[in-house]
Amino acid sequence: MAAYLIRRLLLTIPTIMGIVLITFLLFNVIGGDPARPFAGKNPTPESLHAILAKMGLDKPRFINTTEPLNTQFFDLVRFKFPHSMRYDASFWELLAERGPVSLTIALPAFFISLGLQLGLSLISAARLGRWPDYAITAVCILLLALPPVSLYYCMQWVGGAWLGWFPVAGWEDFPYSLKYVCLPVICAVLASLGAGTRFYRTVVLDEVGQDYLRTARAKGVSETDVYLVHLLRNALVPVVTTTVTQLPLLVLGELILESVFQIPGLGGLLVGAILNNDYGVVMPVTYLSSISYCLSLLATDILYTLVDPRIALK
Amino acid sequence: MLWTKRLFLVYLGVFGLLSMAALATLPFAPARDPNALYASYAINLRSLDPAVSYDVISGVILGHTYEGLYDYAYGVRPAKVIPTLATAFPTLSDDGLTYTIPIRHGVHFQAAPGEDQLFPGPNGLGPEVTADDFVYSYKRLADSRLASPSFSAFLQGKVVGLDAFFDASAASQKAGKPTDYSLPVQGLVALDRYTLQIHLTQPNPQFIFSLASPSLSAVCRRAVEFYGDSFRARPVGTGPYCFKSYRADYRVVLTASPSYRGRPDADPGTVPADQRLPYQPTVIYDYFAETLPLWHAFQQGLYDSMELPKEGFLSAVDTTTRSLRPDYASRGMRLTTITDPAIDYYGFNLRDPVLGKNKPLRQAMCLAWDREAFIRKYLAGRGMTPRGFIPPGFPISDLQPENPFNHYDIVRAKSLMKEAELINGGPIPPLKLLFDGSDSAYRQYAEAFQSAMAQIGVKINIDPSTYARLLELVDARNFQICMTGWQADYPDEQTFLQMFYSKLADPGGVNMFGYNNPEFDALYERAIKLSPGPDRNDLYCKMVAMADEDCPMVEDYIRVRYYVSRSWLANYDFPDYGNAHRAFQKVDVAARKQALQSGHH
Repeated sequence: MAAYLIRRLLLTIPTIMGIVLITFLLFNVIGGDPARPFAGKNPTPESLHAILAKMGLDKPRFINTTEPLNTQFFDLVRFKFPHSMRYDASFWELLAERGPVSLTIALPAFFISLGLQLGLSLISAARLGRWPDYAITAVCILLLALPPVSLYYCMQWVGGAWLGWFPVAGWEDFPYSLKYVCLPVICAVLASLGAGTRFYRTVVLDEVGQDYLRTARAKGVSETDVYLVHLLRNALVPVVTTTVTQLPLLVLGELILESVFQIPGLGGLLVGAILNNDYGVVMPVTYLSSISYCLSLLATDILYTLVDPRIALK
Repeated sequence: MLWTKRLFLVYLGVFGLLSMAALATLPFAPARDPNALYASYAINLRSLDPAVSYDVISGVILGHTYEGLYDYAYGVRPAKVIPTLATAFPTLSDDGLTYTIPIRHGVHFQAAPGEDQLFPGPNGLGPEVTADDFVYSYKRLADSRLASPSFSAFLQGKVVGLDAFFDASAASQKAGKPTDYSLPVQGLVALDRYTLQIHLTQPNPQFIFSLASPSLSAVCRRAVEFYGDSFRARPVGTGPYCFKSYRADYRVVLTASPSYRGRPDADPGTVPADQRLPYQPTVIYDYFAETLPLWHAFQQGLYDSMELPKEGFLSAVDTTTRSLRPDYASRGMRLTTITDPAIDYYGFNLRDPVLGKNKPLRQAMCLAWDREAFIRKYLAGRGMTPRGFIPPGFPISDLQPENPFNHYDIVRAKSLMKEAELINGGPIPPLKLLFDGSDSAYRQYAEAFQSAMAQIGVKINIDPSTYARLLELVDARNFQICMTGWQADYPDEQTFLQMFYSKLADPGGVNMFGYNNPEFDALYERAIKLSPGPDRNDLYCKMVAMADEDCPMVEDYIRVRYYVSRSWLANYDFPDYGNAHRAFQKVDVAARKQALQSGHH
């Protein structure tokens, strides 16, 4: 196990270095001058240079003969990101302010969605070929076919503007945030429900015909326990794969959802940053999400051993 | 019981508890301030430091707190400059290079809500505004550490010695030292406590408009030094409102400043209590990046005014009469129509070997563009065909000659194409259209232009780009056609005419077309020295006619904005220029309460 972990960690290092390099090259080669959008109408070379200096980009990209570590590339390696000119703030300040807001939406949406997806897939599998299975499948296909943005606007109109059950959009701090969280969370759950339920239904159906379930039933185990105790545990490996890799990205929030519902989280921030060429936000988000994805893959491997003792890390 | 089952049951319990908690909060809402004016903004505020913020929306919101020497009179069109922290218009020297400006007496920087240590006096009031504050504030714009976009826009190359100050601050920054504000700037002199003198490098009659920009407001040196980096979120000015709270992309709350003098152009203590501004004690601006939810919220009576979005336009406005439909008007809504002082266009790079030498080609492309169809199909009618490139609202808007190539005439366009192909020595090669691809609407516009040009045999390859790259390519003059626009910086036609002045055609200059017409240049140089009046108008009209004939751009459309407000909001306007306009707007609190309670809104 320890040897495996060390080997995986060592393998992760070149992957992350690759990410750093690709992110850096992408932003430097095709991104355009990061200072120009913030320089106003009549920029001069001096004013552009002043903006680059403020962003921390007035240093050599790769090679600095006098101070070898004082380059844009090494800044990225050390998580020292360019200053956001759109907000006149560092990325870390923005993350600290907006990350918790995003999590207020993303965490409940994620866990409610996961529970519903698993629950519905179990019901669907248990009632295979009967009306509950057909009903769940029909709803899932409908939700899959509906573009999330349309769903958000429909729900906003129905739940907020027409029925008036929820605020149309906006945000208030705790405890009122619970009120403002409801509709976005419902939307996020609905948007992910179709695909997740269909996927887990397939996973569960793979297990339904297995011998160990027949043995459990033969031993008199109740049908509920057959599904919740025996089947669910064996179906958890693909669940772990899909959930653990998503968890670190939750802090980034739901991109479009936050914009539609005016949630001051990281998702809306990122959408605005992309549309406004805010290098100081887009670059760190790209970089950090790639790294978190790599690390979550590593965590997934470790969790496999906990979920299924038959899997040994060698 | 195995752990999966336990986990499932715990999950159900937590889910149930959270759902109940959320449902329990639904009937409760934070109390709305009954006396507040509720407004919205759609663009993030980059900073609350006037030296750093640059866009129009930031200027409008910041303009409620900060004041400069001059501002624009509220609700007056054409726009009219009035003295605010100055007591009169500048006295100009005979050579037009020296501005002497008297400063208003007795105006103090406002107390900062919730901050006792900034101005530790009996009433928490800041120091009196003096000429030195303006010298300091203008030097701040030239501090390279702040990288102020307003420096290059308003002051660079214009004030004697200020560029040298910028260079010195850049050198200090490089050496890791603070900027030395004690360095004198020859062109910025406080003659005495209440007299500021500015020396320009060359005559510039439009400089008064720079002085009316919110970026050139007076900032308090003590506040800058006290707050340090957080000054960008802690404005301290002299205007009608103080910033009570601010959270980026969320909400701005302004409260009436107790020390405000009551009117922008009045001395302290001279305005009777019942005429004092601001009318509303609080203004709450909520951030809405998307317009549709704001439109829903507006219809629920939660906001007092907003710009009518595309989604609500067709349902709320009768497009033939351009007025509100009766069912909206009967709910107490009112419509205000504003024409943007801006023009959208497809600019040609006249340095390009195909486009530059071929005037008939450019003229044909102008004639092949059906603006009216475009405005109807793509803008839902929220635009107008330009008469010329000077939009409405300027003295020569109606005097300028009608651009002979601004109407759709495909027959004439095709005939001009024959001439164009002769000049080119064969068929016109494909041309590349550069545009900002970050917005799907722009892609649709580009495709519409592509189809229109195909009618006259001009193949357009569309080249979507990031906004940053687009600006870079335009600055470097590395494009053939670019879809872009120009917004007036001040209410003088010169803001548009400078786009064709050949001395501003170098990379980075505002003449992106590379238009070079010595006759135009000669008129421009004569006109910019003239004061407003018929003589200058004549010159301006001649220049417009010259540029129209040469077709450096396909003039596209002028955006018309529709604003809706509630009948309980008096004195509503959305001026093109000027600050602090919410201070002039008054909410009939009782009428609003009654309308909201009765549900008729």
